[in-house]
Amino acid sequence: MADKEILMEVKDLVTRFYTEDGVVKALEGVNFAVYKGETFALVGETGCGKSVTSLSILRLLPVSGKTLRGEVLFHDAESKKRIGIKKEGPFDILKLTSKQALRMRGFSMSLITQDPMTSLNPVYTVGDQIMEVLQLHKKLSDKQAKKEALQLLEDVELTPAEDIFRKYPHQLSGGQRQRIVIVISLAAEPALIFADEPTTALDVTIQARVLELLREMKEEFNTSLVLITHNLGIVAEVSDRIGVMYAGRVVEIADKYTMFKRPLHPYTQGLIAAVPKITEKKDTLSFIAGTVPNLIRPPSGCRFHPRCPYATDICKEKIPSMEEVEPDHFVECWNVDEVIKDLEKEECE
Amino acid sequence: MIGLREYIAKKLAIAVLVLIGVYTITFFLTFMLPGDPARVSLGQHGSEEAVELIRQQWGLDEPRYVQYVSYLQLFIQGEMGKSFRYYPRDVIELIRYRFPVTAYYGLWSIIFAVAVSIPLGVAAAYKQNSIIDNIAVLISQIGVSLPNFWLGMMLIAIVAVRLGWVNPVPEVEYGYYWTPIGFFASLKDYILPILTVGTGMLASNTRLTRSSMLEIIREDYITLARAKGLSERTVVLKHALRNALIPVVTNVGLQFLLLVGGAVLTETVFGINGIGKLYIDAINYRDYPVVIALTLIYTGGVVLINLIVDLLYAKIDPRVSLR
Repeated sequence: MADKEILMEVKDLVTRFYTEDGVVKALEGVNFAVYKGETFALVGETGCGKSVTSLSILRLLPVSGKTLRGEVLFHDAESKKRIGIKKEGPFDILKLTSKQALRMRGFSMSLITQDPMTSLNPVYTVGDQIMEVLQLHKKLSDKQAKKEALQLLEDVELTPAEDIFRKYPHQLSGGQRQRIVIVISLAAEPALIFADEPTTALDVTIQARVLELLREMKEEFNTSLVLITHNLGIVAEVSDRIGVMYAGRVVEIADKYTMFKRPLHPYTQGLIAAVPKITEKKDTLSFIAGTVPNLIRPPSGCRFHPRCPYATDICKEKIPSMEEVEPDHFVECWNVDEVIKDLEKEECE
Repeated sequence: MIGLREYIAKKLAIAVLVLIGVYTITFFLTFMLPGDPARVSLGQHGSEEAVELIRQQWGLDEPRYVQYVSYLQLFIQGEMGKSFRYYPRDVIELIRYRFPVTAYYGLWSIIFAVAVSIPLGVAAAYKQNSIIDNIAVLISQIGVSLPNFWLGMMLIAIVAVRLGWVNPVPEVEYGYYWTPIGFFASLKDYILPILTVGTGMLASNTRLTRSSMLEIIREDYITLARAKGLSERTVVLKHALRNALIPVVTNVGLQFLLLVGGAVLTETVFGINGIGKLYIDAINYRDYPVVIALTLIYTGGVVLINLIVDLLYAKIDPRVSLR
C-alpha cells in the first residue's frame, strides 16, 4: 500500500458528550488514515463510536458533544483552494473556523445518512435539494445546476430524471430516496464521503444495488469512502481496508483479506467468529462474553480487558498504543505476541 | 387528487349543512331561554296590550315551527331580520356597524402574537436551555395561565391609570382605524386590548413553535442539510422552520376563532362597541335575531378558517393532499 496517497489522517481524536447522567467518553483517542480513492470501513458494535467519529470529523456534533483533542489532517489541494488556506501541506479540519468549516462541509467531505426515509426534507422537491449543493459549492446558475442535477439523477438510474426531479421525497421508495441521498452527497464531488450504515434501512434486495451504485459512483468521481457499518457482510463485499472500533477506540486496522483471515486483536477475533458460517456445522453460536461497557464509567486501561481472554495486569492499567505488527496491519493490544503464538500453534495443528 | 375548485365546492356544500344544523340548534336553544323579548323591551311598566302588540309585530305570537321556517326563509334570501332591541333596524346593519373595531384590534392581536411568538419560539428551540429559552418558556407559561379579563383590568389599572401612558378606554373616531394612517395611529389607543387578547395567543404559539422546532432540528434531514455545508441561517430558516410551522398554522387558525370569545370579555372590560359587546348585550336583552345571526356568522367563520387552514397546509406540506 506504499504507493497510495494519504487523504486524511485522524490522530488521537477525543470526543465527549455532556449529558445529565454524566460525561460520556465516546471517543478516547481514535487513530486511522484514509487513502485517496479507497473504501475504508469502520466496523464495530452499536455505540462504539463509529457515527460519532464521522460527526466529529464533519464538525456536526450535537450541542452536548465536544471534541476535546486530536487532529484531522486533510490532504487535498482543491479543498484548500475552496476554503482559502494558503499554507503548505495538509490542513487540520478541527482547527478551521466555523465559517471555513461551512465551505469544507459538502465540498471536502459529505455524509450519507442511515435512514433514507428521514434524510430528505419532506417539504422540498428532490430537485431543490440536489441543486442546493450544486449552487452552494459549484456556484452554478439555476439552469446549469438543473442540467447537472438531471445528469446526476440519470447516473444513478433514476429515470425519467425530469420526473424524479420534480417529485417530493414521499413520492419515492426507500431505495430511490437513498439514491437521491447518494446524489446529494456526490454533487459537489467531495474528496471523501462518510456513509453511515447506508443500507441498513433498506430491503436486502435493494441493499446490493445501492452498494454497487455507491461503488460505481465512488470510482467515477474518484472519491474516498468511509463506510460505517456493523454488517460484516457488507464490509467483506465493498471495503478495501477495515478499522475495527471498540468502545471509542480503533483497535485494529488491516486490509480486508488480512482482517478476515488473520485478525490479531482478541476483539476482532471474537467479532469475526460471531458471524455464523453456513459451511460450518455448529450446535451453538459463538459470542463474546460480557457486555459493551458503559462509556460514562469505562473500564480502566484497555477498554476491552473485562471481556478479553488474554487480559493481564497491564491491560487493566494502561491503554495500549497502536503498533504495526505486520506491514500495514495495526493492532492495539498488549498481548498481541501471545495472540500470534496461539495462531501459529493452531496452524501447526 | 381532486382539483382545488372541486375541493372548495365540496367544503362549501358541507358548510351549508353545518349552518342549517347550527341554526336549528341555536334557534331552539335561544327560544328556550326564560324571559319574553317583548316584555324585556318594554320594561316592567309596559301594558299587557302593548307587549302583545309587539309580540305580533315581531312574529313571536306564531307557533315555533312557523318562526323557525320564516327565519330560515329570510336567511336563504340573504337577510338576517330585524333586531328586537333596536327595532326596526336590520341585524345586518348592526353587525356591519360593530364589526370594524373588533376586526381592527383582533387583527393586530394576531399580528402581534405571530410576529413575536415565531421568532421567539425558534430562538428558544435553537438555543435550548439558554436564557432566551427560559424567558420564552416563562412567557408562554404565564401567558397561558392569565385569564384575559384579569390581564385587561390590570393593564388598565397599571399602564393607563397609574402610569397614565395611554387612555384606559380607546377614544378613536369610528372607522378611523381602517384608514391607512389611522391603522397605525390608532395603535396607541388600542394597545391595551391588543395586549389583552394577544398575550394568550402569543403564549400558546411560542410554546408550540418551540416544541415543534425542537423536534424538527433533531431530524436526519437537518443533519444532512448541515452536512451539505449550508449556513445555520439557511438550515434553520429554510429547512427547519417550514416543517416546524405546520402545527403552528392550525393554532393561528384556531386563534381567529377564539377572538370572538375573547372579544366578549375584552370589549366589556374596555368599553369597546364591537361584536363582542353586541353579542353579550343581545343575549341580555333577549335580542334573538342578533344572537342567531352572530352565531351563524361565527359558524361560517369557523368553516371558512378551517378551509383556509386546509389550503395553507397543502401549500406548506406537499405530503398533504386535499380530498
